[in-house]
Amino acid sequence: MRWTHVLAAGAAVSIGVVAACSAPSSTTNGTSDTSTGPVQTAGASLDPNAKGPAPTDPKAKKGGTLTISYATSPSSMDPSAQFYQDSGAIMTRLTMRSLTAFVNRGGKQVLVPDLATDLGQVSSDKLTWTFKLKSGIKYSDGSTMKAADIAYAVKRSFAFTATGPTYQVDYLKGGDKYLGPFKSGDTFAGVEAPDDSTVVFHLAKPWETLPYFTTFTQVSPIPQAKDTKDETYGDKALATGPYMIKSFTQGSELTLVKNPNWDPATDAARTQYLDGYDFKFGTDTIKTQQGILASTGDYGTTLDWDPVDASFADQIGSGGPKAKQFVSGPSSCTITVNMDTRKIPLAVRKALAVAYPYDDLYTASGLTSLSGRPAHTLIPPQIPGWLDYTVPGLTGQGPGDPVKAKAMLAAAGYGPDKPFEIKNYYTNDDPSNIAQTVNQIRKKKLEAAGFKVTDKGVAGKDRRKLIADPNGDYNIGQSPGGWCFDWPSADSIFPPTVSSTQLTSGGTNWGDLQDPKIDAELARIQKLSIAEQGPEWGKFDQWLMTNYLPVLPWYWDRSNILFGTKVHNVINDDNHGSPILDSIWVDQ
Amino acid sequence: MTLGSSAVVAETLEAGVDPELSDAAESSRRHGRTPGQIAWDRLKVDKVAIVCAVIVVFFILIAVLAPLLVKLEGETLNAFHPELINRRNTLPTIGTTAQHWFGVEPRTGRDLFALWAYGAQPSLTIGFLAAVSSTVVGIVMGLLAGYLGGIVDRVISWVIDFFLSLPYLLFVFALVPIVQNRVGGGRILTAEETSSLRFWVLLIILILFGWIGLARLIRGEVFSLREREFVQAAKVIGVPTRQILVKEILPNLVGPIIVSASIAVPGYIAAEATLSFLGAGLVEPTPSWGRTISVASGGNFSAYPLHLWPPVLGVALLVLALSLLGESIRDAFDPTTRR
Repeated sequence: MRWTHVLAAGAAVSIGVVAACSAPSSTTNGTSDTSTGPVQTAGASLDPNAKGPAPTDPKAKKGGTLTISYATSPSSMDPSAQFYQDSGAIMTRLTMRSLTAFVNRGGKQVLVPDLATDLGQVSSDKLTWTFKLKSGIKYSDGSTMKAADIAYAVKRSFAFTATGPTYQVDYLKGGDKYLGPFKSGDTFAGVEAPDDSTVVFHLAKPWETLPYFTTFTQVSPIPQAKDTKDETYGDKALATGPYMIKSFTQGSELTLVKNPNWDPATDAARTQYLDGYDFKFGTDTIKTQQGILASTGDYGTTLDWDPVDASFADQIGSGGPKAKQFVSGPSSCTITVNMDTRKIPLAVRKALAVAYPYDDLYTASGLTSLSGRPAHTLIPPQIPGWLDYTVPGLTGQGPGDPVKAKAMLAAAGYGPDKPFEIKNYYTNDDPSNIAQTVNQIRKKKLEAAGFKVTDKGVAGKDRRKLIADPNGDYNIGQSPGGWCFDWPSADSIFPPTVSSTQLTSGGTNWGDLQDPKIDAELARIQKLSIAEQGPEWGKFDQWLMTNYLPVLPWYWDRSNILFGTKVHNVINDDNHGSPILDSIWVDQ
Repeated sequence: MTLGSSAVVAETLEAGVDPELSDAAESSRRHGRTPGQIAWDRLKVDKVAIVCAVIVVFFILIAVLAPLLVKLEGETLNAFHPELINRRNTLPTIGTTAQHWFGVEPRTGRDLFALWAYGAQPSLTIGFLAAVSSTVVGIVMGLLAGYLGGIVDRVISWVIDFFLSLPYLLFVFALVPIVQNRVGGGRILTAEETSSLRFWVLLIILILFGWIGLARLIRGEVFSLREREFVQAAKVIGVPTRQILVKEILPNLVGPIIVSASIAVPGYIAAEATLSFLGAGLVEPTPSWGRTISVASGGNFSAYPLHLWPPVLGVALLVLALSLLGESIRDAFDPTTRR
């Protein structure tokens, strides 16, 4: 899933961030600022037998409208095109049902059937998945949903891979050649609806985590007859969830009202407390957060999930006067410092890891203890199978050790007469001046360790392109600056970030790796079942970092949710880093 | 009007004069003083001018002595002190201390006194350098246009009108990256290269837009002066044009020129701060008051006002003092405008 956070004052600009993903499963339900507490892990939870209606909060009040304010703005509400944290949370929780869904049970995310009756049946050759649909599901206009609508939606998603996810392209049979129903017609071998209540996926290679993918809005039903064949379909998309779109104005506002045709008895994952939701996009973060903390007027029923400005940190931290108005928890992202293994030898990468001023850059980026936790592995702790290892010196924190790094560089054959040159692009037009100061600190600290640093200032809009070019003139800081998992299994982290396909298809990855040994290991693990994969990915993480060190883990990003005093039952979704929108209720 | 050595003569005469003659000497001296001397005498007794001059000198001393002062403080410019930052809210853990006179910058822990003292350097340098350069350009263009007239005048007037019609701020915003790219040869520059280049780009742009007002003023003055008898006379006896411009006409324009230059200095300092504030001016690592104000006026202002006040007071005081001083100089040269 793509990261939509505008990190406090352009830190996102300086980091470079993050195209990636997220998904279901487990972990700490961060309801307080547990900055030093241990991180819990939990196994992937699957409940194929869950039945609607979803349990409701006995204290909950019904009615009222929640205002949700967000600094960024989704480009559309199209279920096929979306792959972002903001629009994803809105659609999966409120308007769009898919074959499967996540439900929060006591802080754990559990995968349950949604439109399907179970979590799918896989054939013995593992190349065919069959989903049976619940009967009597209606769209918001009263018409009945058919299995063909889901098959059509999956086909339609191939037309929007520029912004949407591409897993279906990799895994579905014929997916690599299919360009969607508008260009390639309706004939597609990857998905079919043999009757009105059955959806069958045909795969090109085994895909153990397919039931996670079927939570995506790309699998939400779209009746072909209603399709506008572009993203404007999303403006008035037919809803299957508890709410439907009343109006959507791109860039400013989205209003949701109750969907009269939603039947709670069929939905094990969602609740419907509020009369409606009012999303405001492109708002001024600091002003909104000030208002919410004061909770005057409409701000009492407003929620904001942009990173909290550092200046409010003392009020909402544990023990602070407004601590009850704040919920924080893991998001799905590991933020990293990327290196180019083709240009920096391993010994120098190790010295760089020792010299790197993690803490200094963290605070200089305006990040607080609310923004993240130091990371020492690439897999975040909430993923099942996470291995808690530490490569010596790689803790994602500390001021860097220039003396030791200098000695390591000397041992590798670099000295004052022949310094190793670090090249990086930085944003030189960040209006908050953060990217520029971060660059100054990095340069000073690395120079103190004996590196020669050539920092190349470019405009923010140009930088994104330059760091995504595998032939760019850099040796650290290429894209991706981090990764957010799409579902709670590391097969949504590693193949996308270290396999050689990124380089061969003209992109960059962690370390700009292109190594047959890594590819073979990835292929081996992907063939295992979900349960077996977990620990293997953990070992892979350690093996990769010990032997290749392509990237320096920096911090695990955290979600920040701030809300007015009349807003209740706010829970962080640890797999998406967003609030579980449908569980919220308000005082009127 | 002629200028000459009469004043000097009067002074030398005074040395050994008979007291009885002092009245005559006095009157002859008063009669023989240059407009500059008259203005200087008026300025010397103007309390506002003196206070302002003291303030300006104070800031010049800060700028010149910045390295010494910062060394005295025990700091260096752009030394980062993350250990002085509270990781919880990115605010400094200290206020003003003996080690950090104005505290340290939120997020990075840079010494704010160093940023402030060194920040006076580019402000004043750009202010004075741009004022001197644009004045020289303005004088030359104004003299040429006014005295030569004809095609020269039409070309220069057209250029003046053209520059006046350009939307200043918009144009500067568009021009800074272009000039930077051109001067940098299209290369991607490092922070230090960008920073020093920006200084000169800023200077060039301020001069480019700064000479117009003075050139217009001088052109108008020269129009009337060139018809005066002493200029005509010089022409008739065959004095070369250059000499007429420099020896006959220019000395009569000293008043307006000094006034214009002295009012321009605070204008340029404010312009540098404004552009840096808006992101089109000086960049890291060159310190700049405008940029510091821009950064400090964000969310952290109420929590750590020390970040904002020194540069705000610096710019405000310096610009105010220079402006009032400019006004006083104008009044001194032309008392009829005194309110």
